[in-house]
Amino acid sequence: MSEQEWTVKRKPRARKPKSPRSDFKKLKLLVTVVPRTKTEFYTDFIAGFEANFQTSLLGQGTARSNTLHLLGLEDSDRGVIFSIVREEKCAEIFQALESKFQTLRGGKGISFTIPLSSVIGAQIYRFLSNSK
Amino acid sequence: MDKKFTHEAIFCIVNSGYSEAVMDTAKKFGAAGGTVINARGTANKDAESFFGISIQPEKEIVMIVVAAALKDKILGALYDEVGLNSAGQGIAFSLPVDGTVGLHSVQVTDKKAPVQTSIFKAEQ
Repeated sequence: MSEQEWTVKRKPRARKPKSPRSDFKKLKLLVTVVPRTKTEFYTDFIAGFEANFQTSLLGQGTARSNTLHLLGLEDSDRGVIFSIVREEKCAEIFQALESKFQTLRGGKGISFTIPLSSVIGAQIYRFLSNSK
Repeated sequence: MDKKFTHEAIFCIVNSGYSEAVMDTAKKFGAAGGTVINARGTANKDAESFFGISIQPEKEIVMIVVAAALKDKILGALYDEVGLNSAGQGIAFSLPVDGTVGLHSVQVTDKKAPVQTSIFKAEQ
């Protein structure tokens, strides 16, 4: 038999349609700058919003009152908290943080979010987004 | 997707001791304040010897949140004042910020009036 007769024509395998990524949750990097003595408090506070990964750094503020600086009364020590949170939680977190900034004595700070474009690995993603 | 962001986070990494120069430069163009984080830089030793430059490992990272309209001016000024060719050997970059809380949105002229803060969101 010739080579051509041995050729078996196969039907192209039907590809399964990709499932819509309706369960895909976008992540944000939440940066919170607070007085250093309140770092642990705010870390625990943000963890209550399903932030599984957080890291805190020591920092120093630069905005200052010249009068307090001259008198040596300025406390510029800061804690910088990096947290990974879900996008859908951001509005709730901001509302709660604003309330704490205004009510907690000596706990005034700022917070902002930066959108994340990618993470490495599905397991890491599930951990960061708290997807069980 | 062309999304406009109201604010940008500028990160300026300079040699230790030059954070004040960074803040002085940024304040000239409207930045209110920033946060300084101590860090340690890593450099390719072979590249250092090849290019004949020495990289000081002790660094300071200055993080400044500014209105998006000020970003380009501040980055340009930082390049001129504390760039790689200066003693600060600094590099700077910015990341988009799509939400903030705690930044003062209204300048208080009346001391009796409460300080206004607001939650900024990126324009959709």
